[in-house]
Amino acid sequence: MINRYAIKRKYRYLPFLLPSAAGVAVFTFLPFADSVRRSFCTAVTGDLVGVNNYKAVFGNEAFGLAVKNTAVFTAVCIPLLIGISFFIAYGLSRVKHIRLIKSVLLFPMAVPTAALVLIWQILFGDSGWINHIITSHGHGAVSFLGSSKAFWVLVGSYIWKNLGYTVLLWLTGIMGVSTSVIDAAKVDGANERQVLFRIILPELKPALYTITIISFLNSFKVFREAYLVAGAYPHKSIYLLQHLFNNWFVNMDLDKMAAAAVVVFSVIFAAAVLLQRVWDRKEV
Amino acid sequence: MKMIMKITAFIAALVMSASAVSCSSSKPAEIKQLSAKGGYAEKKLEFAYGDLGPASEFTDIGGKVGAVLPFTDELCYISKDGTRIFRDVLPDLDEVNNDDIATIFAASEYGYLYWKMNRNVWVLSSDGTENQVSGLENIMYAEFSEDGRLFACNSNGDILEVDISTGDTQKITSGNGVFSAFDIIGSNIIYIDDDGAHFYDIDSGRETEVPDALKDFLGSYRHERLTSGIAVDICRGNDDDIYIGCSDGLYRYVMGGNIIEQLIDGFVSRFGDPSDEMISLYCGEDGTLYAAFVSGIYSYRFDPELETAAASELKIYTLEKNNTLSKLISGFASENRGVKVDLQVGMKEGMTYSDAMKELTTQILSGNAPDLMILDGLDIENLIDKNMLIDLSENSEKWLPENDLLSNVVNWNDHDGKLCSVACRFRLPAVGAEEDELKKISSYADIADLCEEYREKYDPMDTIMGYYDVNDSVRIGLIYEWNRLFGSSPDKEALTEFFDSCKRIHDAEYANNTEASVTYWSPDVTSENAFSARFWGALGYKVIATGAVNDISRDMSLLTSVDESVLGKKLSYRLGISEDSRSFLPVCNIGITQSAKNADDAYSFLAYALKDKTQENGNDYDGFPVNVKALKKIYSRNVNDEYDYTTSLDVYGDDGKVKDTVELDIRSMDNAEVKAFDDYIKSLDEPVYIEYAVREIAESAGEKCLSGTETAEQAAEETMKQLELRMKE
Repeated sequence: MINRYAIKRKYRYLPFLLPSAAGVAVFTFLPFADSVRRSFCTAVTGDLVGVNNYKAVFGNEAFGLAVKNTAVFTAVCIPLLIGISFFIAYGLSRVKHIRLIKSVLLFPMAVPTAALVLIWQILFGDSGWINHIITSHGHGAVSFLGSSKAFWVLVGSYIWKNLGYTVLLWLTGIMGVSTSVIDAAKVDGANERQVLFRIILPELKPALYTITIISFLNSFKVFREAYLVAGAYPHKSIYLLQHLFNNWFVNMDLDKMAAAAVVVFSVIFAAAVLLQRVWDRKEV
Repeated sequence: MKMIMKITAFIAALVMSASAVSCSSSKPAEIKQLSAKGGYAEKKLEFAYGDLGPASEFTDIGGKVGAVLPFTDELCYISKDGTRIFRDVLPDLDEVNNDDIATIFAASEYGYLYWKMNRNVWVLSSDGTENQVSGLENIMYAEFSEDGRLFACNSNGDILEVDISTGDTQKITSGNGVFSAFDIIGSNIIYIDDDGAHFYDIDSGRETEVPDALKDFLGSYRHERLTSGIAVDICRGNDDDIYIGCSDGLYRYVMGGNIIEQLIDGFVSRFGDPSDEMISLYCGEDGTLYAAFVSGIYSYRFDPELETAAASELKIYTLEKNNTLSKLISGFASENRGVKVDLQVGMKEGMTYSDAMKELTTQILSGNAPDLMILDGLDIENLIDKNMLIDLSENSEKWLPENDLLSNVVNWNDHDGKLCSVACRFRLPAVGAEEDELKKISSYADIADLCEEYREKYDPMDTIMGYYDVNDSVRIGLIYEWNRLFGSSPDKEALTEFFDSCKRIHDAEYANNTEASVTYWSPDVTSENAFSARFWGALGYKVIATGAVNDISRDMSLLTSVDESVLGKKLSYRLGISEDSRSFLPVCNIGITQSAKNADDAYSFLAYALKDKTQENGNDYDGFPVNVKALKKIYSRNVNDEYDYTTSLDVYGDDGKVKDTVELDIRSMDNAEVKAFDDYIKSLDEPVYIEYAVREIAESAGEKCLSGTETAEQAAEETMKQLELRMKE
């Protein structure tokens, strides 16, 4: 009797987990399994071609360019975002009326992409506002969206859109640090810098992990802005993996797309596992 | 617990009674679809003139039922057996010397109401008195009632009664907005305006209630919802019923009922043919229905054995909607009643090319690939690489007609004997200008030079290129330069020169020129196919005609008939941009998919598209036929003057008033011209296949160049970069 009760208790979370697990299985794992299958077949007829699609992907120049750009974009954006947002959050944590500011911080996330793109074009277009200022001072117009400068415009857009949300995540972490520990450190003679580096930052390690993963995933969402502003074939500096996937889908290159999806997933998965291990080791 | 159950039961009863009440308050009209067996068979009545043209609505004059033709003053009436159309000159109309009648709006034994060339409306009473009508300048429809009263409506939304003996008008009521139907059945004017359907009783002079079923049905054909002009015509049946003809087909409604019965599906009949236009409906005493279209009069007799249920379905995909395909489908479906044709248009309702292709990919992945594809604009090579298309040469007996085809055109995409697509029609890029100037043209850059020269020397207010759109210099230029620019790997130098030419033409055309982009021909025609209209314009102005030539009867006859402008200069045209050019634009390229579930019907459709009868009867802007027998039949139209006509062009002076009117006889090509043309098309060997995605890239960069935000070199560089990325993928 006791045994049955213990088993019941042990698995009573299952009914709550099942709907979500079923959704993930049907809408994520099954399609991914299908992608893995397709990566070994031809696009339309479905004939088995072995690893030819993988060979085609690794030999594809556009794939190389897209991977490079995506990696550079991520490598530039994530440290910038994490750094800037932390310092803003740290500053804001000292402000008294933080509630009001909190809601304002989420505003960029609420702006629809289409509206954002319009603002982009008004600001950075060839005949946009910034170019108007530049040309009115006697300088030549700058092609912000049609040159390598497009990369930095995209970085700016990403940071603007995600900054508030990330600040909020940091704030939650900072607010969670026990004030008694900080007060005790101050009583022991610790200055502000020591409190920050010795107490607050070590306490924020779990938050940093979450923020890194979320920022990384959000970096893929910047494609919408890039696509709406510059189309399927933008300047090569902002040609991302999603552009390639989108164009492959349009051109029915589903075989290459499936193979590339498997490769990209494997890399991201390996990176996440590696990150987790490194984290776990540090925690210990 | 009991209390809870009671409350639940009460709420349930309340919900059920609410739904029942709401249902009874407005019962929706029921459209009864076609039954599986038994239906109306469509047949064209024999007519010596071929097309009916701009005739009046059906009328009964002296016991003969037909439509009145304005130019010949004849009643084209239906023979007693209902198979032919005879002609009868109307002496009263002929006697008043009405050679300048453009359109007859209403005709009956009581008189006529018509529109003359000068756009004034006149009435002619039965006693031969002709009077100008006031207040009907923007006339839309007019009709006689059974007792001889004449009513008309205009685009201001007014309905007026016209005094046939004096031409005076009296406004009887006001509609709202533009009318899309106006007919008199008994004592009721039935009209549709922007508010929906209305009944107006002419005896009591009051609006009466429209039956609910009709209100809903006719209301759906409001002008604002229609994509083309005339929408609906209504005629009285032999019982207490009316017949309604529209683009969706032919319907019957019994007065007072709640059912509207579909008799003929527009999709498989003349009603749904976008290239034709319904004029009027008539119900004969024996129940046979007649419909007058611009293309002729058609009869619809009930056949109890006619199969109307589809035994199979043929899925056809096209990237963009086009009239050539609509006509093919309409003809094929009427010949194959057992086949239901499902047309899927990729770029519909504002969808982009990318969206359309994603949807197509999804369809293919989900096992719903189309059976047959109109490949125009698609990346054919990619589809072949993906093994999506059947090799048509393996089953040529299923589609190749007995007559010869122009193999150099049809098989333009032959890959070492593997034929995955065939072109059913083709167009020819051409250039036209004054003879001396034409000799200097051998490239698009030469056209740009001449355009700039004209702008410097002549009236800055006149158009030189006759464009539809400000970006036409790019769109039209591409049909000449496509192979040079994109034939092999893109060449930056060639692209720079091309964009530079486009920019120079654009700047010269729009320099102080208020007349540019004013179109004086049908908006249904895409700008790049309006070559002959531009060449016609060259009669009165310094015009450089560019674009593609589409057919023999209209385009080639015009080109070979025009040889001197009013400025006294010899005019000339050339097929291809240079003397040695043998380029052509293959259109209506058809392919059958590997995964076609209905390959047999797909082959039948292809065979139908290529057979001589179909090829002979294309729309004006479809392109030249590829069937040799059809071509020969069209050539032979020069044996008599049946297809010759006279036309005129107003030439305006600097003051904006008509300075001169040029009249010109348009003759069919003579035998020598036919031979030269036939030899030319048999030597064509440079297919210009314009792929939508690449054109989009070039046009996007071209637009920036034309607007001045990029130089020609920058536009070329941008195009190159995008194409390079595309090729790397």
